[in-house]
Amino acid sequence: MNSKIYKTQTLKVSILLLFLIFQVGTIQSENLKRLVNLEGNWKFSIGDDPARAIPNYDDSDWQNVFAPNSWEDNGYETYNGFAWYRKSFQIRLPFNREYLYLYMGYIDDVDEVYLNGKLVGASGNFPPRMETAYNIPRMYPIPANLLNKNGENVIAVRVYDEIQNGGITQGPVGIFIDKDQERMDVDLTGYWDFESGVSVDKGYLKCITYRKGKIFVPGFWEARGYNDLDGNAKYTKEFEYPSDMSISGKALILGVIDDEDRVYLNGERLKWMGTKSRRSNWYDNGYHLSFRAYAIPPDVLNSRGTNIIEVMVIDQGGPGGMYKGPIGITNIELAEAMVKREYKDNRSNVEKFFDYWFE
Amino acid sequence: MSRRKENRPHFVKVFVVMLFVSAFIGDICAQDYQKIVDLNGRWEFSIGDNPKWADSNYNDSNWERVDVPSAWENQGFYGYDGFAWYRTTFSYPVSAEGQSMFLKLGNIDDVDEVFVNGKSIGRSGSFPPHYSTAYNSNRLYNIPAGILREKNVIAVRVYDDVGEGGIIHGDISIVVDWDAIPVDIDLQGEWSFKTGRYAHEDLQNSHNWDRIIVPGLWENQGYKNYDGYACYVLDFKVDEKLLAERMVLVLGKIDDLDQVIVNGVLVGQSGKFEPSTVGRYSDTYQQLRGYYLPVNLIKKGQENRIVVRVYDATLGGGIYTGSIGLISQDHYINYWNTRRRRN
Repeated sequence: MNSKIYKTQTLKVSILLLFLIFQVGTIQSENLKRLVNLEGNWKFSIGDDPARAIPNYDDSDWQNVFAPNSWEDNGYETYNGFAWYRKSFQIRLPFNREYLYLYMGYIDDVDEVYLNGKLVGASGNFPPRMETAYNIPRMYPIPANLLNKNGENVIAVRVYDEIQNGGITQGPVGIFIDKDQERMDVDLTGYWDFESGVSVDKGYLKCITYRKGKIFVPGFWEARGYNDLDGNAKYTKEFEYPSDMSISGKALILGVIDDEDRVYLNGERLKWMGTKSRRSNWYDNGYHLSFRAYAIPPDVLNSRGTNIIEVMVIDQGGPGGMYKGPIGITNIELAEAMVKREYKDNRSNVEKFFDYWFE
Repeated sequence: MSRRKENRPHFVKVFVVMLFVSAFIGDICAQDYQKIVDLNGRWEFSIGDNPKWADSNYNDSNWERVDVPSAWENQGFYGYDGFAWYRTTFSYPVSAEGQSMFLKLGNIDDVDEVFVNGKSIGRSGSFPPHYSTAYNSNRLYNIPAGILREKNVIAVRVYDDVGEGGIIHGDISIVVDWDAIPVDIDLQGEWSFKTGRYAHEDLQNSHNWDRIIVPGLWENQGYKNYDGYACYVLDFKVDEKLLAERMVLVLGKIDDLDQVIVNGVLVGQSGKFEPSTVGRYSDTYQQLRGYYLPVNLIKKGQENRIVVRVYDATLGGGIYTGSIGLISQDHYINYWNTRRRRN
């Protein structure tokens, strides 16, 4: 028994270490405002039943567990298989937001998330042909009009775990908006045309936020129905530029992209402002952490008609896509300020330590 | 996340190696068993071989009496090699009602098959003419629920090739596993079995396949040193009173990878069920298998068929320990909640 405990402990410590090295700071630089904190006690039951997604399903005899935390650490050692989490909450809705961001942290291995009975997100594939998404940060866009302004909302999460730790294992878990998005002159979040050569995961087709041939930006494409996609993909967005707005001194902001990208505005290739993130080091070229701002040359923007942005993304493996906001067009001055802010050395001490010794 | 991804497998590899090194030492019996019936002491004993000796009604009053555990060569049968039988009785352990019970027979030199109330519950090694010894394997046999009565008879058929002979060492007893899953429909016992990657393509002849006791390592049941693919089949009818809409198929622990098909429907598998993934799933052999079945997949009043394909990379092999059977989802939830409270 002792050797077993020792084994799991070493494993845990090492996994923790891996996370410290590789995962720190994937969302800390975003200017997120939390509207609802969903970390805490959830109703929990192992097993599976579609009825559990229904808002008024009776979960009074369910257990209480803390999330985020693996269910193994909540007393369900060695359990693998299906389980559901349920929680109700209230929310005060912000103005002028069509979509809010539901962060579910990391879920091990596969999930479906229901909000007030509607499927709003899914990652991985359920058995019998299971595919894990344990390393994909879950962020699902939720239509603001799906939420009850004056009353209870219910979130229900269906999880399948194949092996080792299971459940909602890491945060953040909550509903957020990106404050920096308000500073964009043109808001380019939302649905983009998406081409990848890979078909959408079957489970995702049922999501109310799924649109054929389109993808919601920002977000990892693994959390948008493309769990298997590594390699190339193309994002395209058409938009009208306001005729009363100046077309010079502007910049395009595309948040953060995993990994590499080529960006065209009305056919013109745009250049990165600044160089890649200082966070690049021995184990990491840093592209997937680098803030993307592109100066727009004069006369490229068209204020009397349609503009088109094309973004080619090459993902080398792991999560991929235009995964973090803000996404939009703004003044070059603000873009420069944002770039500068991003280039501050906000590595954790552990990261600095590793970078220093392994450079 | 290119570079990050490239680096990760090295760590993973180191882990896998570490896991393998530390895991394969004494893991398979790492469960907590509690002894509830002591069977050390005098047993009835006879050399020779006769299938009737498995029968619980057989009259063994004129048999010799020997100490168990002890080599028969030290009990007055010096120099004897060949077949011999042991018999003893025990009363139903009321304190363990409804729990999963195991018969612990320690080390037997060389081959054995064990009967409880006339029913075969397990064997280790393989009898002549295809003799292979299992003298160094630790015997721990599941006693299927429902075969025990108030008074019970154990009969052990032993073959010794050379040397000491018999039930030679161990704490001979009946033990209980409080963590075992209390299945509603017990499917332990003899299943059809065939080795080979394409064994599942020969299902129409499964009634002619070898028989194997489930659970139990195949290496102890006549497949010494066999690594690779094998296929298990069980056809069974169920008592419809025990069926619920949602059922879970419990298959104990399996070494290493498995793929499970019930009534022609794939219900689950370890990853993609590919040998190349054994590294990634290096500790699957320690995972409890509980497969949630699609609603109403198990049919009332007609034959149901479970097919389990197994791939074993090294050592052991097969569906080797734990409860085997069907349990309703509600009972399964209760089991896990109770276990949580107990811990």
